[in-house]
Amino acid sequence: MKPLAILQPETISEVIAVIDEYDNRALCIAGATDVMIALRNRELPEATELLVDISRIAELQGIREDENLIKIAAGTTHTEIEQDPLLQHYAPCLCAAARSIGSPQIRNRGTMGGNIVTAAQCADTIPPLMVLSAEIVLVSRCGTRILPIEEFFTGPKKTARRNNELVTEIRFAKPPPNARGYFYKLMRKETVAKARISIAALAEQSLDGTISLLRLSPGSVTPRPRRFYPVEQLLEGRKPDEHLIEEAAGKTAEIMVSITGRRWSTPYKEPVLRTLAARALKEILTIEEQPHVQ
Amino acid sequence: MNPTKQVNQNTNQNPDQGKLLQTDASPEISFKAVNKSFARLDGYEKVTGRVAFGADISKYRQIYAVNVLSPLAHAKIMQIDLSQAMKVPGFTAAATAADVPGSNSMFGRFPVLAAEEVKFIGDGVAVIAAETREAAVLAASLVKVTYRELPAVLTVKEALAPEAPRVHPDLEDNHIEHSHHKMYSGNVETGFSQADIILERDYTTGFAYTGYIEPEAVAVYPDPGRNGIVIEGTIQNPYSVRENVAAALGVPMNHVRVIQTAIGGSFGGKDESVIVMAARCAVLAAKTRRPVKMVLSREESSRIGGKRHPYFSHYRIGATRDGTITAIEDTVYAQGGAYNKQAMFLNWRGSVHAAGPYRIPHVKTDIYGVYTHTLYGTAYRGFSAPQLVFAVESLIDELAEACRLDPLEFRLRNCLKPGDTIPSGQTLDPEKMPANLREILLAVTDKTGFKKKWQENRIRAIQPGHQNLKQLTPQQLSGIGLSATYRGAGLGGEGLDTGAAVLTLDRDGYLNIQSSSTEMGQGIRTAHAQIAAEVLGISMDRVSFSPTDTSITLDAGPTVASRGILSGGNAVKIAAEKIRARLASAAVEILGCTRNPHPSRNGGKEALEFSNDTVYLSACPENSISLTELAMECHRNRGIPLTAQGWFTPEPEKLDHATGQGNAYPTYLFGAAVAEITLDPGTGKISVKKITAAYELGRAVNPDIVIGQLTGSIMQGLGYGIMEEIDVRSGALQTLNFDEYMLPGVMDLPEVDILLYETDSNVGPYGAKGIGEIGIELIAPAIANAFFNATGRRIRELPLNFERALLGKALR
Repeated sequence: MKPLAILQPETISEVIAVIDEYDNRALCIAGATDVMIALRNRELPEATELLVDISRIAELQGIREDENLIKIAAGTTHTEIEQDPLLQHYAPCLCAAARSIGSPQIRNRGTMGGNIVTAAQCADTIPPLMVLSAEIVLVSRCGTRILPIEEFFTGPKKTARRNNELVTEIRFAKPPPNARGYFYKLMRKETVAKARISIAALAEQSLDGTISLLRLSPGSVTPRPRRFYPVEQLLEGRKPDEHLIEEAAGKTAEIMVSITGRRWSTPYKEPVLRTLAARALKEILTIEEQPHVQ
Repeated sequence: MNPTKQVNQNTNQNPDQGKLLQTDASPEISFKAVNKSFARLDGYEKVTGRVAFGADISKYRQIYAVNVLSPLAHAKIMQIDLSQAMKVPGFTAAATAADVPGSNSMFGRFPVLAAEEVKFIGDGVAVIAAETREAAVLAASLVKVTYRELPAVLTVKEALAPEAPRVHPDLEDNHIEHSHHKMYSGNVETGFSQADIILERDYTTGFAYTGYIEPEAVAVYPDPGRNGIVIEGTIQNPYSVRENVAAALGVPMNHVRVIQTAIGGSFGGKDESVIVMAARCAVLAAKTRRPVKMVLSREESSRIGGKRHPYFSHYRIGATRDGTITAIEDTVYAQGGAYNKQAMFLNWRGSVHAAGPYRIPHVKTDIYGVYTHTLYGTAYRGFSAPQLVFAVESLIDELAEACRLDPLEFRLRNCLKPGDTIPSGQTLDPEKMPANLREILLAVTDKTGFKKKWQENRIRAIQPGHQNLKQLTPQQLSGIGLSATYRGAGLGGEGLDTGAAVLTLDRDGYLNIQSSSTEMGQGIRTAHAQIAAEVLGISMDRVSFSPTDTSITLDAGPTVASRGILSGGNAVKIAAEKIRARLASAAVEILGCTRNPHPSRNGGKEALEFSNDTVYLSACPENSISLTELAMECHRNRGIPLTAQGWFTPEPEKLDHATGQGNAYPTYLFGAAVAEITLDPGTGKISVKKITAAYELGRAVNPDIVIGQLTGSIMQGLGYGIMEEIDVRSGALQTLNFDEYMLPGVMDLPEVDILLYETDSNVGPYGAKGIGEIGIELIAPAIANAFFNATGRRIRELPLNFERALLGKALR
């Protein structure tokens, strides 16, 4: 193994200058919860020569409100996300996802930027960010690029980030005030467990009960994170009832199978995703009581 | 019959358990040191991080060794090319089978390093040493081994097929030597002819990893003071290591000194793997004359560390319509893996208990061990019981259902009672073994409201349409399940169960214990100290211990089979009594009284009292001498030796190994548990809400430690029941770390309510029988029975993970 150098810059512009120069030979490290394991397992990218420690850059810390936007700096830890009052108000589903990650030690170290740049299939914060329609801010020497989160993920553990770009921020528009969010993670044990399946959803209903907004994103079931648009389209503009929810849940499972094909795990995942989708929708949608016919 | 004392222990609600025991103690028995929750002797060092574990060893000029493991299940080794490895900067030495100076076949056919062929994925082919661990890892990865792959048998079924490749070609087939044990009593055909209902069922359990927090570590170095080597490490059984390494080096045993470091958990597992590691490091140390250290990574520990044997059990059981069991017949296969150090003992224990804690007139048990080209089974807490109790207790529930009796009623009708005879022909003598299983079953079921809950869930589960709940409802289904067990204490007929200890009362009146039992977190040092303190009336803060060191402590076999208390504790007691007698002989002269002609265990009847670090006349407590003065007097003026050895062997068991008939164990423990679960019918997720368990353990020497042992066991049983699964597809272990191998964590801990039943069994010291293992075996079957109660469906394979609970079968 080649000896690795480590650099600890203090500003974003320093990081950008370095990663621009080193290209694929530089690797940014923040919480180190993924990089250290890769290092130990000798699984770092072949070309890596320089680790750029971005964990001490003040500009990469914190959560703030900017008019209609909530901006999360990429170096914000899962613990901070879990406990942030602003996020608890505007995006409780994201706080719930952060709370479900690993153990307190991992949450104290791991960052939101790291979670999305690693782009693991089972990353816990991604489904909520998908339903929040988050945007990823990438900064390089050439300027700033803002990508919708769906365009950011291009495949399993693959993203649209270029080697000379640093993810500095994840941001999203505040959901409508009466929108309801949901996150559930199915795990084999209560801590330090990857998601077997997770699901995030966000919905808004107009006063007459019509679904005016619906977003749905299951995690750990498709090679790259996705919104399940056909399900959303099925529901939007309609008034929910048990039947519609069952139909939407069935469609959710169907879409998963259409993407992945029938695999060894499909006999389990298909019915369970249907159940979890139905539960998510039931939780966030208000079904109007049918008047009793005497 | 001896009185039974029940002590309530609720781990969640009563932090002050020790006190509870005291207040409940029977008035006729009063203890000074035993039966109290003293802090652990080694507790301060452990909680403050001062204690040195295996990986902490560091020796001047030490080199680091790393294994080269086989990637194939069965292959001939054609060539081992070390040339690239030797070019790595820091490379120091390498060893292959050709470098082993002595015997390359250790106990159980384990080679130090594979010579002709590899027999499982993980078999050691070579070992590399380098100046740093990193260099050794790199060099090991560059060793090029050329194999010619051979056909492998990866399952018991494949291994037993006619013309199957043999794991050990010198044997006739793949049956493990001496591993077939029989237990025949009565005539099962007669029994089945009397039965109205006969069930035939198969139960399967897989490998399970001991998962100790600390992976294995050893260091081997040339003895600085004499001819030979020293081995330090995370070793459960130092005498086994000494014997095997001496043979591998071709030296006498006294040239090998084994010192045990503190151990971060073992549960039976740090045995074969550390023997192999120590032998490999010893070969390198002999070759280089330098200290050689080997620490396994978690992945390596997963590959070669301790695993419970998979069991494949076929049962047939019959009962009359009124719910009386008439016969049981079972054939059980234990998958032993490539090498075997355990199956002959494991299966013997299994054969005694395979029919469960029930009175069954006609029994026929056959248990076999089978070699396969897979990782090997080791001892792991329970030693056949977790596998068989799952099978039997599931079966009993199924039979109860078939007889239309509830699980409690059926068990009460059939369970062993004082005076009953078990299949080996041994009678549960009410004086020696007050089998209070009935009382225990009633206690756990009363406490949980079992009958009512069981009926309500059962009625719901058989309602038509209940399965439709599966789709949408987030409603959890609740279930409650019962299980019962009995367990032979100590080794019994497995082997000679001798324990040994040396006690020394120093001239200042402080005591040291050299025990043959090893400490691995179970608290044996503290328990032994309490036993010695009880005899000598010495305060606990005056007691210390020697580390386990084969050049200091006595060879009395391995610390296994929950025998540290039964035989080890009795040895301590005997040695302490010898010292007490010698002290008494001096004290009677000093205090000027006549000696009681019968100074023995009739507490309170002696002329002399030993209490509070003082010896005094019972009749006249003011006439006293401090232990310090007395010890000084013996040392300085009287030449009375205050070092004494204690050896203890339980009564010889009259046992015919050909038929399994005779006295199998000196005494038995009894237990029953209730599991309360909820099941998410949409995902198959089982949440264990509460475990209520009762155990008859003779006596709790240290109630807090007992509760700790039992709670840990219960958690391991929970993991075995619903989470832990080793994936060995094509013989290759897929579950190498805790991201894949699901060990329960602290957040998975249910409410645990433990009831302890104490009896005055006269086999162990102060009645104590040993509690290290019995906690684990009741949990998986109680959960499986609760799952049936919740759903009406029966799962006969462990673990009951999401997939099995939802679909009834594993995904692959």
